[in-house]
Amino acid sequence: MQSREGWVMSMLSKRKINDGIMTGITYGSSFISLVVLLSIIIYVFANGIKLLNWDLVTHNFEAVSYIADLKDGTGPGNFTVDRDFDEGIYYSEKWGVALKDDTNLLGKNVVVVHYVHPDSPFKELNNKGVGTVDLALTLDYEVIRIAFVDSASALSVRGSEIMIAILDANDSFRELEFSTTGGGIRGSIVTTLYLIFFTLVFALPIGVGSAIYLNEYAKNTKFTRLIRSLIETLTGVPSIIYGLMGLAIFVPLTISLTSATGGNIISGSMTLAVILMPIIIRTTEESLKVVPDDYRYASLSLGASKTQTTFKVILPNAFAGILTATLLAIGRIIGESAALVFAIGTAIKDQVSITDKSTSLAVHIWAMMTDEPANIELSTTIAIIILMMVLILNFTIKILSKRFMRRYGVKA
Amino acid sequence: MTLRQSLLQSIEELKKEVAAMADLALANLREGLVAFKTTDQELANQVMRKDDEVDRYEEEIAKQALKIIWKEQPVASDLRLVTGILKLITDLERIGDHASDIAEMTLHLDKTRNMRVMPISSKMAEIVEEMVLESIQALVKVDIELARKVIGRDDAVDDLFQQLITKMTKELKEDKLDPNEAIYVLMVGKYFERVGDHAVNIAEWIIFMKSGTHKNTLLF
Amino acid sequence: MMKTEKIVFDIKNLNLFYGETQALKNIEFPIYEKEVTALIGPSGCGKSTFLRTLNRMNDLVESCKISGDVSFNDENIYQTGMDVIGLRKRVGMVFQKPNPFPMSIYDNIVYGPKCQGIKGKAELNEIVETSLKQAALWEEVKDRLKESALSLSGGQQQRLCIARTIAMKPEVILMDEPTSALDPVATAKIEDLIIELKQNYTIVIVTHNMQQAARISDRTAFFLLGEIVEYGDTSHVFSTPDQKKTEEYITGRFG
Repeated sequence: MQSREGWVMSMLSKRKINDGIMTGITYGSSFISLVVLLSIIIYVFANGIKLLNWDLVTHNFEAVSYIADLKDGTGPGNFTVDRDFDEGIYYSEKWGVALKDDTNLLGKNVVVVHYVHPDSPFKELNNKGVGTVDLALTLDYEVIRIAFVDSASALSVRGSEIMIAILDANDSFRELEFSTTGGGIRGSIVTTLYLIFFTLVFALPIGVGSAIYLNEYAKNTKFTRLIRSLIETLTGVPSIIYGLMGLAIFVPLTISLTSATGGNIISGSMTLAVILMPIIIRTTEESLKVVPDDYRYASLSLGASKTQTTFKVILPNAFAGILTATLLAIGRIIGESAALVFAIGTAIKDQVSITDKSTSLAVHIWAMMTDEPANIELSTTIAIIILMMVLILNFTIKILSKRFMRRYGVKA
Repeated sequence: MTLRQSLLQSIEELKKEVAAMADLALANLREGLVAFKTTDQELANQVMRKDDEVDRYEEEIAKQALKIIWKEQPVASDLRLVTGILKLITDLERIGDHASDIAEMTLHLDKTRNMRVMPISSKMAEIVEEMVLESIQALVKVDIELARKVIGRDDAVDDLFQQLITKMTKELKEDKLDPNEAIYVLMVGKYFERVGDHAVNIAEWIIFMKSGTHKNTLLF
Repeated sequence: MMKTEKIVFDIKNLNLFYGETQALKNIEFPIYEKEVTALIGPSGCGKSTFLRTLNRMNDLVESCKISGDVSFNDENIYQTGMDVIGLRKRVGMVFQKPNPFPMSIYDNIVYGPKCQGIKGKAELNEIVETSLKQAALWEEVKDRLKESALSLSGGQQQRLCIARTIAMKPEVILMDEPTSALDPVATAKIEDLIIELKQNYTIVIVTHNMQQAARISDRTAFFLLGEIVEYGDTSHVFSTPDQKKTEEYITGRFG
């Protein structure tokens, strides 16, 4: 009897150990997942937060350089100001301009204009280069070089303190080279938003429509089964292949139909739409399948037509699933880089036109990383911005859809 | 609104029919006695004919009760009520038969005598009539106390019958009665005593309807 | 109450196949106006299949083939060019499992009328009130018409489905085991409702509960293995049935 008890006890404790191991594995996997995800987020934020500022989002990418010289009749004077400038800011009372050292949006060290006295000659300069418009030195412009007649030029690499000193030592200068701030990603953000809009406009109706046809109307024949397995296969095709297809088909198509001359946003959207279609069709079909047949029977037995049943009962119920498909799609659009490299190109634009080349945020990151040297910091900053965009978009769509569903009386 | 309206209505109608049947049987009983006392042969024939109606009532009520059983599948109090009614209408029908029997005897009486004073039989008739009335009230109100009261009164009826026998034996010995008449009067008394027993039966079935126990035996 | 004895559905020689399998054999009997006709029989014997032929819901099953005559008010409903949608407006259906739409109570009831094109708010409100009153549900839900239909109990949901069907003002209401998913009290409420509804509608009800058929129907058809074994007045079928098989089924000797 004792051995039997012992056997039972050992079986129980063996089982307990087994249970413990299995539970431990599940806890462990969750822990690892959590750690990995957190690491990614922490890495991105740690590296990217340095360069994160509003200017990055609003400024152009292209920094425009100008060359100017003094206007006739203007020159140095006495431009005293009452205020004191902070440590690190160097003011020339002779010329009425304050400069400081800073890092530009691309992460390089530059000399930046901090303050210009309203009467300073720097406010009205001659344009030595192309164009006839007068130039002016304004806040945040980068001073690259000041050339003098008799002495050595002041270069920005030597820092603002030295530049001010040299400036003060001279009474006139030959040339002033400066540039507007660049490195902004505004163009890419606009492009990305355009892409999201057009891709959804192309992909959603076709995708949802196909799913409705396949699930509600098509008879269950070999042919439809074949179509379905094809669609399933397509979801696994690498997107770069679609990019080649985009280059081969959509780019020439848009070139012939519009004023485009190469890859453009429309062709990019079309390519992305093709990538997304199988996913949207699959997800929509799944959510249509989940709608209980009971609703179809009820609707039909009340004398509604098949179309009315589909659009008044089934589709509103599948809405949650279609929403998921849309959010997935948006995530994919924002993140898609390989296909777009071919279909839209890699030219970072400030004036975005839908019939012209441009870059999405993901391609922008790619451009930054393939530059010499790779700009990891800026890339991680853009990554943060992308994350925030995704969050905002998701949130907005969720709220809008809740309101939509409440209006149509559909319970989630 | 309570459920099973169909069942509830059917039961109310059934009870009404039973009450109507009882009223008819009692009326016949009264008239049968009157016919006997006054040697009214026409009345007697009428009573005998009316008994057919009482019989029809029994069949009609049985039909309704059976319908309730197959249609509504009654249980518990509804079942006890329906089966109780099926049993007690037999006793009601018997009461009707006795009325007819009393009337029938009128046809054998001396037509010249048209007023009989029958104090004991009349007294028995009075009590028995009340017993039947009260038992039907007990049915309609499902009143066990009233039913028990009815059962208690039967002893008085039996006593009266014994009194009747004693009196008639004495008077026959003293040659104060016409034997032919006497036999019929005795039979009338016997019939009323039987009606009393039937009233008790009805009361016992009413107690069954409420409690499921008939004459101290639980039938479930 | 005097019945009109008018025949609403006349079924003659009805045969139904699911692919190779014959589900209904030579079905032939009439359905009378403003009566409750009950279809009883063991599971899988064709009662529900037959019911669905009356409003052509069997059309939804691809492999289903029908031969024979099903007349609704003297019109063969399987003739080519038959307006099936119009038919379903006049012949409504209530299902075994209550299936209200996941919308508000109000929207559930106006769904049918709206599909028909009725738009006026006043008219729709009136339809809602009338239908819910006829379905004995108005008092319970009149203050929460905008709440979700799914917040109602099972019995209330089924009465809502009945109201929804009534909103289409049909002539016939088909019921496929309408109380089999409900508790006894809800069942009793719906049975009482059916007894009241038959004053205005013709009702055909499939039930596997024989006692229910006895309680509420005027005529009963007993289905066995796709055939009708007996059809007649309910009082006759349940007291002295003609066929031995009927007697055996009703008394529970087999099932």
